[in-house]
Amino acid sequence: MKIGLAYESGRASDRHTSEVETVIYRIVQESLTNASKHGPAHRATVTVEEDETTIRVTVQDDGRGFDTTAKSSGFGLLGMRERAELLDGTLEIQSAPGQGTTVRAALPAQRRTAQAA
Amino acid sequence: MAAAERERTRWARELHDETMQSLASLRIGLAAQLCRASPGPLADAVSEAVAQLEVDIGNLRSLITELRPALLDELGTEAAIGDLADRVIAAGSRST
Repeated sequence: MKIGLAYESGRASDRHTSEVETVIYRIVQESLTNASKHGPAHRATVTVEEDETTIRVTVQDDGRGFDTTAKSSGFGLLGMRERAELLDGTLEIQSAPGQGTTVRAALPAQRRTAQAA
Repeated sequence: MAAAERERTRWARELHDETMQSLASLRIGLAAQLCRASPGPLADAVSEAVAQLEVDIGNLRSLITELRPALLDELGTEAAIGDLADRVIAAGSRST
């Protein structure tokens, strides 16, 4: 599988809180694991875009895709959504059999210095 | 969810500090003896054990990173995701 990676961290120099960093990482990890294991994708693209207020994470693959309404679509996906929502973020999954999968998450930024202040 | 993440971190540290260190010192000890051993079935068996330990150490390292990537805490998401992508690509090329 080929993976394209685009990380646009903007001008912010402070790191996100550990909670936010963990959720960004786990969403990408889960999506790439799904893409390589279940949806034999040839190509996946990971995009992270940050601005002052929001972090947008998108993972798109060209794998088999799946029916997102099926009950069996998995704990992994539920876990990703739960993680995003715990930080007041959102996560949506777009997929259909034969159409590949796109996972999009938006998380409110929380910088380490802002939290300390 | 935060508790689960802490638990993963704890397991990653435990596996690194205990199991990994113990396998690594075993490997070093056997490899050192191997240098001095005269050729024969015992040397062959030790050599095989060292090779197997190296595979196991590599697998354990991947497992630890999957539990809690050290890079994420040290350098942040960009570095950790870059490393994750490399590992996924490497795993994919091994299995095909």
